[in-house]
Amino acid sequence: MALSASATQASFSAKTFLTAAVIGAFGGFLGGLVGVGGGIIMVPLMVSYLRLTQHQAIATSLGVVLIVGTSGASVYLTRGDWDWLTVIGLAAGGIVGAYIGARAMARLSGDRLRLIFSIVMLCVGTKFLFFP
Amino acid sequence: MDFVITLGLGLFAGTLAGLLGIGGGIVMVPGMVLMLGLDQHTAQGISLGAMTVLSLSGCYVQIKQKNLKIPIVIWIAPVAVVFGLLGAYVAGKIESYTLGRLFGAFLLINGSQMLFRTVRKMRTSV
Repeated sequence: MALSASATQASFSAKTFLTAAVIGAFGGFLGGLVGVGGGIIMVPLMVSYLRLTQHQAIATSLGVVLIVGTSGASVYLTRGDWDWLTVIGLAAGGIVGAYIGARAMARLSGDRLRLIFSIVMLCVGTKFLFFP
Repeated sequence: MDFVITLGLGLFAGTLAGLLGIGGGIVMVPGMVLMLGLDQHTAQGISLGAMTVLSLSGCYVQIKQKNLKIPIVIWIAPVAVVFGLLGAYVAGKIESYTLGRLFGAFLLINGSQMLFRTVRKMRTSV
């Protein structure tokens, strides 16, 4: 794990950042088009094209979600499509859940995570195909 | 009662988010529409707001685990924000059911490919 992390760090180059920007463009555009965050698109792309491990891709995606979520939320908040009580409730549960999920993620192998991820992709895909 | 549902929904979405690095909106938006009776737009706004907070706690764990690559976030996120707005704008101009179905098919194809590859790899590595 430590080895692969330092190898990835060493390969951060102009090409890496260009690829990252293209992934952001593709994930962001598709996400905005159908109304999802884009993590479900960007995590597999980061593994394939940035050569991140499954763990690094998931962690990095969470960082992207933080920024994309903040900018999206500010648009909806100013438009008034908002309810503070529900936001607080979801966030309270979500903070605990994300902590548990992230800790669990660190204990699972990359293959296990890919397995769970692909099953979630299939569920989300089915949902969009039949109930768009 | 609604608040308990909200907490539970947040807990579930947060766990998925922390585990898989997705926002959790995919669970929260339909959950709020179906269980709390909120309209789609409000649910989307709320989901983004909750996402901002819950991803903070996931990021905290990931930074401590040294998995989060901040330089990559810096390159992906601003581009994703701009193209996300562009995507949302285009979505308002065209028929969205077809788009949703295409996206579903895209995920099913890629998801099943990933599932088969992973299962095969796990079998051979045992």
